[in-house]
Amino acid sequence: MTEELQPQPIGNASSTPVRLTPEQEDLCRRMDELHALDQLQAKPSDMFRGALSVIEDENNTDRIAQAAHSLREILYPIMSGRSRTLSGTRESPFEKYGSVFLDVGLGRIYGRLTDLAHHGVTSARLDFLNFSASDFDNLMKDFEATMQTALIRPIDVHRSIDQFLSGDPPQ
Amino acid sequence: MTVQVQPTMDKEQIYERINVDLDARRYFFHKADERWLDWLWRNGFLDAIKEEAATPFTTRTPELDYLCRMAEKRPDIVVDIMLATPISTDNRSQEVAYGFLRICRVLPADQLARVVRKIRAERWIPLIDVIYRHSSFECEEMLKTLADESFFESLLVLAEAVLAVRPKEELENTPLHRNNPFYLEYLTRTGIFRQLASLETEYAEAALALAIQKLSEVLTTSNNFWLLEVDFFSLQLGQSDSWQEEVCELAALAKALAVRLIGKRCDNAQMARDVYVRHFASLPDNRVMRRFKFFVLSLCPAAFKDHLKQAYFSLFETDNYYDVSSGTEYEKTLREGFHVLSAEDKKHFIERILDTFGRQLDRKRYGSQILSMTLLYLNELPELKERVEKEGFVLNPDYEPRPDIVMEDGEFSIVSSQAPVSQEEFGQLPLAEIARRLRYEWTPADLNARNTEDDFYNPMNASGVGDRLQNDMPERLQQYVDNATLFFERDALDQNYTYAFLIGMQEAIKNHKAAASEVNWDGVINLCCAIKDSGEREPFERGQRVTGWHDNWLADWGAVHSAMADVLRELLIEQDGLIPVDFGRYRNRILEITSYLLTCPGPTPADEQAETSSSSDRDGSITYLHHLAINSARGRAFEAFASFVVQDGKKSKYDAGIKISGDVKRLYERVLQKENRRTIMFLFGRYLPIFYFGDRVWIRKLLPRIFPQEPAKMDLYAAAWGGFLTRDLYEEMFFDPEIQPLYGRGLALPDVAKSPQRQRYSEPDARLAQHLALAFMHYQNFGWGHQLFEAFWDRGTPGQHAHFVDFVGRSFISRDKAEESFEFSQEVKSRLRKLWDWRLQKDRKQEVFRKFGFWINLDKGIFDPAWLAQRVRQTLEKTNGLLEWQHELIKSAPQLAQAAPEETLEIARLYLFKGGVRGNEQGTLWHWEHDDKWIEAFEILYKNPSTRRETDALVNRLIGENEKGKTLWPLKKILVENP
Repeated sequence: MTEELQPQPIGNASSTPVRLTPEQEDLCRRMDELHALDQLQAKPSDMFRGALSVIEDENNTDRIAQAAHSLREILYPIMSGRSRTLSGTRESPFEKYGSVFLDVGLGRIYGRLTDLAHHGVTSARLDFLNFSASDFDNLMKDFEATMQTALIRPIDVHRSIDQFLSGDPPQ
Repeated sequence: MTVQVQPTMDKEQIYERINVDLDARRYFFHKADERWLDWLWRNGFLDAIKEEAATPFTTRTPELDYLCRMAEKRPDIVVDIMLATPISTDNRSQEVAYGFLRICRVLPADQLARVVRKIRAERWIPLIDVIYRHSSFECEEMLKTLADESFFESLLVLAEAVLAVRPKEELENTPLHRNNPFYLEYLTRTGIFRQLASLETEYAEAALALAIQKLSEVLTTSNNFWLLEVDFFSLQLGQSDSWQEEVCELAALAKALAVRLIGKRCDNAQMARDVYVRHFASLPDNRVMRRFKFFVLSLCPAAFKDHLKQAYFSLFETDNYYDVSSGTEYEKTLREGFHVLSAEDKKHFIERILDTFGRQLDRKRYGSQILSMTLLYLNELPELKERVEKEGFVLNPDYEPRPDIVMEDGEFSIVSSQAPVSQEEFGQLPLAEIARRLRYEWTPADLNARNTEDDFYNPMNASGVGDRLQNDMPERLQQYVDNATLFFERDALDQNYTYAFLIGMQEAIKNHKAAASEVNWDGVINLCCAIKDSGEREPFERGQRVTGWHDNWLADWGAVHSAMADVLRELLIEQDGLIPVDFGRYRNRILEITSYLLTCPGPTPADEQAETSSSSDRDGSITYLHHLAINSARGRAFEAFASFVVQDGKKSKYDAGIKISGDVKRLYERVLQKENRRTIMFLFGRYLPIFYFGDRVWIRKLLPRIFPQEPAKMDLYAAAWGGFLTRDLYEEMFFDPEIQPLYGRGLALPDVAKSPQRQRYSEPDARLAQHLALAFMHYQNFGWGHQLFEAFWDRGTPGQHAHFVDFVGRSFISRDKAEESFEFSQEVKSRLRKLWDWRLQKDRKQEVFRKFGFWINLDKGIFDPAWLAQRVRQTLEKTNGLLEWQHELIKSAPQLAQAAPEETLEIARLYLFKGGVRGNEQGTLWHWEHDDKWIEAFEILYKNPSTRRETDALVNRLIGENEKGKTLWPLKKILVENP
């Protein structure tokens, strides 16, 4: 009731920015670095935030396909080819980045995102109409975990070991 | 660039994390401290040391390194872990056993004592043989630890493990093991023998048992160990050196313990006998053990009276007395213990000796030696002694038995030739008297006859007399020269002495140039003429001589002629503008002698046949030919001839520009016409410049004969061409239109020197490339547009191109002091840059580009850093990151990083990552550990925003993929210290 008494705003002011967890912030930084190594202009962190933003907008009836499209765009340069060195030779982007793991199964996620972005038209595997926001949430988590693994570098491993060993052995 | 790390990881997570790759595992175990040891073991983190591995491992297991580090902090737990880890025979066990030995090295005695039985039972020492046979250091430490803390029982167990003997097939068939039957290569350095020898009394007998058991095992396993140089009477620990050292030391140990346990207890005869019976009585019956037993019996003759009697008389129970009496021990034991025999036995023994050794003359000498050992007894019985001497035996009170082989300073005795008179006495003799004795008293045969068998190592022979002659020459050189003809008389004076005289003369001239220039050389020239005249009248006989038993070697007439050529050459060699001989005075006679020497038969076809050559280099390479040439009479004569031509040219008054006389040309042409030996053709090529600059027109006409075109003479051409290429470059000659085609033809020469033994820079390929590289650097006219230059790069082999690049880089660009007085003009610098670019554009061969390592230089102002960075990057692309000379790149890296960061980052990726880490180029990582210039370069690159990200990524890649350990971890600090 109290709200009804207050003056109602007009206009379309900016909505609340997407709030990322520390893990997601770190993932965004790494994805940006990965793309920057190949001088790509668009930032994966923008695409990632966009995906989160879209998926939270329940009024957007096409939000799953649009969010999937944004995430797919992050993976596209990785999946579509190999990075070039100054010498012109090609190598895997993760190789160039110095990743510990060069094959973490991103193809599976990329395929699923592609199906969703295309509204299931090109895939018999996907029941697009029944794909829920909750399903997408799980896919998103899978995306994050897989990308986090793909972007682990030796120095990260060293740091995590340092941290583990700085404590006492479990009893 | 913060990294998200999970705040807590459980056991499974950290296990998964450290097993992502080898670097993670290595880092984890490098960082873990002793607090974690028990937990890691209980939770299976150290199980890698228990896993079997069928294939050879390539890196050290981090878990073992960790245990090794922990051994000093928690030895009790580490030993628990070792005891719970089975060692089998697979590859992993080999590494683990070695890792455990490294651990044992630092364990305290009480913990080490827990492990020694495992070491012995699981045979760790044999197990680690294949890869770690050098690990004597660990054993040394372990033995010392146990001895210092008086853990003697454990020490004996460990000693038994360390003294493991190789199987028969290895000792018989593997040359490497024929002199050392044990597994450890440096066994004596462990101190094992001294440790066992000094064990306290209650353990000494166990040590003796071990030593004898091992000695028996060695002797029954292999027939290689005769210990012929050992005298058990004088054998001491620590005195053996090199030759079968380990077995000698083992024998010395057994002896030392026998002396302690028997020799020092003679007052208790029963105890001494008991020890003997327990350890010696039933030893295997072989010569070494027999000798050892004789020695042991000699320690307490009274206690071993019966044994000694049996031992002495055993000489008569064998068909081959040497089986019993070889070495010193039988005779010395006789001397020490003969007195304990009964009077009847003594007499009986003497009778048997007279009977056994008196019938044959050659045996009498040995009988005399044995009887000399009983001299004390014989002196008491004059009648018997008289009879002995009457029967021809010589009793020598000074006779001292010697081992079958005498060693000096750890080596076999050197045969040292002797002469009938001392050097001083020789120097007092008039030369005529010396010449007389050489003819009549000191002939090789006479000298040989003066020797006895005992003179084997110091024989009197012609070499000994020759040495006296040569040593005496510098003392009275003019006298020797004046009387030179006394030292040649065919069929009267042995040619060995003519040779000795000539060699001595050459040495005297060479080493006393100043004195030599004051000498009147008539005598020596007369001597050479006398030999020449004799040889022209009737050729000297050829072939090696048959030597007497005590001769080292006897010179034949071929050697005499070689020595003559050497003397002539020595007389013609210039020093400080002077030559020893008055050239004008002797010119014609020297030329006549040279002409004669150039008809000498050597080298023969047989010399040039690889199969019959004494050289191991069988490929007909340039080095080989050169070697043959300077070791043949005709080859040396040719060298003397070349020296003659140089001097003749200097003194000449011939037509302008011509410095060779008609008689010289005629001789040259005559020899060339007849020549069919590759060796001499090599010299024709090598000395061509001397004759070229003597008379260009004349020599040009001879080029087709020096470098023949006929297919049948291909080998002669190749030899001459190879000889030519061994000389430096002369501009006029190089550009001579008659010479230039020779280089073109050389490009097409098949690789005659392709063999595993070929030596760098001595082959036609390399020499040709060097000539052209020198021309390129020195002569502006030799470059693009020059037919030969273009042909070289067009038709030459990659090997030749690589030599060219290598030579320019080594000798000019990267050399601290470039070719003397060479100046890098702008034009030369420009040519070098152009050449590099040109090759990058035209060439693809890795072997060529790897040589550009020597070109990477910023000190001489040839290359601008940015320009250089780009070429280095392009070069490394061609070689997959490999360079043969890396020092210059490392040195330049920081400058390159400043001037061309992106190119340098790519250079780092190619050189360090692609070549070093992925290409496993050992040199790259070795240089990394010894030079921090790359760290400096990485810091520059990381601080530069344009290369920061890529540098970060590259550092991660280098650390993550390097399998060689923590070599590259220092790179981390760049990222940490520059957030």
